[in-house]
Amino acid sequence: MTYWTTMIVGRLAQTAMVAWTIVTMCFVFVHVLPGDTALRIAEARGGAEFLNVGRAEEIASEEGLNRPILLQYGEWIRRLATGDLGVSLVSGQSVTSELWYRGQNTLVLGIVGWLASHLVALPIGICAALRPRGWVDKLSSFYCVTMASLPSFLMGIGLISIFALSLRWLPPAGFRSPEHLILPAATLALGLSAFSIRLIRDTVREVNGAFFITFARTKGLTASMALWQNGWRNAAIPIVAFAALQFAAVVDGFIMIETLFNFPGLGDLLVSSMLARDVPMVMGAGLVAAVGYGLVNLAADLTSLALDPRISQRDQRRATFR
Amino acid sequence: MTDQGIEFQLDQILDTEGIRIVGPVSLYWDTPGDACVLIGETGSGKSLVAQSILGLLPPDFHADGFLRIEGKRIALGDVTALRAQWSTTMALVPQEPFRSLDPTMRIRRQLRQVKGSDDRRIDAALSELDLSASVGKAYPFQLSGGMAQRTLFATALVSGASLIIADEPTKGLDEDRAAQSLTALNRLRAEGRSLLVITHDLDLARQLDGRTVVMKAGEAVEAGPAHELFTSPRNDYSRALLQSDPANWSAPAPRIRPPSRTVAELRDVSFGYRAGGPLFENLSFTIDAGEVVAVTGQSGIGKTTLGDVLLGLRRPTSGTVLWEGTAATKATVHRLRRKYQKLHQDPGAVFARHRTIGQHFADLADILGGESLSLRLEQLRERMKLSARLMERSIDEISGGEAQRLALMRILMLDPMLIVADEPSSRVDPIVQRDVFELLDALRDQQEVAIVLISHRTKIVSSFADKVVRLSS
Repeated sequence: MTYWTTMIVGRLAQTAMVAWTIVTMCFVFVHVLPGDTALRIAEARGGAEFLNVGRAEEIASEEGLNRPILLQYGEWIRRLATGDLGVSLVSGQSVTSELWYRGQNTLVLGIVGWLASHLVALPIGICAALRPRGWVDKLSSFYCVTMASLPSFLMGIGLISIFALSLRWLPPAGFRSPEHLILPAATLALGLSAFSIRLIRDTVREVNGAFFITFARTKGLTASMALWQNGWRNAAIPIVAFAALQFAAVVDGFIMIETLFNFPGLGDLLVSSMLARDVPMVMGAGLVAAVGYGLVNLAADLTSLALDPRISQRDQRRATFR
Repeated sequence: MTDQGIEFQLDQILDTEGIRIVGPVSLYWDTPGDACVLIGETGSGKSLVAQSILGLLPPDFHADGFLRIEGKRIALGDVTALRAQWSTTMALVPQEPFRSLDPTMRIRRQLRQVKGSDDRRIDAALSELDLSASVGKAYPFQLSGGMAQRTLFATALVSGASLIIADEPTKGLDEDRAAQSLTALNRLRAEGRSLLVITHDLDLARQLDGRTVVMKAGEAVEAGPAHELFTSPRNDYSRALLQSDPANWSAPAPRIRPPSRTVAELRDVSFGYRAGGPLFENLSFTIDAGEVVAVTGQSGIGKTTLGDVLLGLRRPTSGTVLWEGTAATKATVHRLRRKYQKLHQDPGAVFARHRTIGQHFADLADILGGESLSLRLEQLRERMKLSARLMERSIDEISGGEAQRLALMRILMLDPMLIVADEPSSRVDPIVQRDVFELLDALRDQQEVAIVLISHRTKIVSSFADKVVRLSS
């Protein structure tokens, strides 16, 4: 089990490094953006019509925005060490509670969309692989090319106009009931499945054609038994790795869909706080996205490790079996 | 013929276009434990014969004939009936064990998949083949090539099959491991299993001493008990095939070479991969122009790695490699690369599938210049007796022998001083093997090319090399 512990510890350290880098980049970006931070915050707090220079200067001195940049950065890191992410410069709310709320929403949407994409992709991909150049294969290939070339915002707009505006079956935006999840999750699932169907098809086809499957059949197994017993694990190794990568991409690649559906998730939060120069909120959201990405990747690696003995058992020397 | 006998009559195998490519071939096994051995050049249809018995021919190929086994007469066109015999009356011992075993399943579970197997039978089969019971717990990648091959024999032993078809059971194995395969085959026979062995290992065919069938271009040209066929072959092709066996190579005439210039030298060279200890330590030897230095030793001992170090493809952990007397630094390697070349083990792997052979040669224009390229190409093609038509084909459309000649020819285009030949004949049949060695021999004699021969065949090494470097652990 030493291999597992070394890997987990190594990956966690890596995740921490990545998170730190990303947060620092967020900090730098917010400060190099043109425009005055205090002015933008004043605008976000009170609206553009009450905006004046005096108000902005008040905010700057209240929130310590005039202090040297490095000092502000050091302060944020120091507080992070105690688990405190600070308060929003715009709403005055705790960043942690806002991230908690938004993060849950994003996670729910991500899991639903990702699961839905695989509920579709797995059966289609496997059917296409078992009958290459059959009608399922041809049709799914057409579907994949179309979906992969369609930008997700176009797909989202299409779904909104059909199911929300014309048919009035589903709500177009926001997140108040489970129905609100359907359209954004569908947009996500359609986009994801375009790639996973092809990967699943190619993987299953390759494994099904592997000689060890034929050899297993000469042992007296039926074709389907051989594919089941010797195929699933071999096929699952690349499929699971790819699925996990897709999930990781979902966790932080959400900005488009959340903005389009006005969905109160992390991506939406990141955009609005970036516009308002809400520094603690931007850094908090960046931190959560980076850590989330790292953890999902760790989970992906652990799954591969569990599935593939060639990785986990490689320390076991050949000599053991002389 | 009694009920215990097995009879196989193949009238013909038709390919996708309905052209007859193999046949007729007839084989029989009178008593349990008999062996039939198919020998012949690559592409002579040996493997297709095996596939037709098993019902494993490529899609749209068709076989006519029948198999009579355990009192049943099965038409070779009835693939479903043939497949119903798998593991109950027939079993396959495939070549390339690592492609045949599920990489993610422990050996015991893979043996368990055999119809009618149980732990007792598996344990008996493992111990019969000198494998410890712990091998059952191993994954295939944890086994050596020879052990993996023996687990395939165990699969056949666990099954109830009375006919076992072994495809190239010694391919790519060194002499010790090939001997283990022979032992395993003989154990199967002692258990009363009849064998069909397909091989171009003539030693194996001789030692199995079964009914031996020589195949050429799809036809059985001669058949008979091995001890008769090997001593007095009647057919011209059989004679040529048997004479190409390294065992029959004439001992080299003692060659007196005038001392000549040193092409390459190793000084106290050691190498080890980061994980694990050193592969070899403090090796020193020189290679002169026109000299053949053989590197021998067991599989996995580091022969190929030594070749790579010599060619500047890997940096030694300590010590120096010298090319023409200067240290093989990056700059030297860059300057002299075309003079120091490698002939690979598998000629199929050095040409890309989707390009023609001619395109590969055209690439050399970058090094040679267009004009001298076409001139040299013509000269070498003539000398190596290769048809111009080959240039338009891809690697899948030429024979293994042609591929190895073309690979060698491509190296010769660069006018090399040293060639590292890595098992240049382990994947080709005996006739091509002799061909390759005759070419190499001519090269060293006529052009003073230095050759480093990596091989585990002692017979080849002793009849060909001037100097032997033996690696041991």
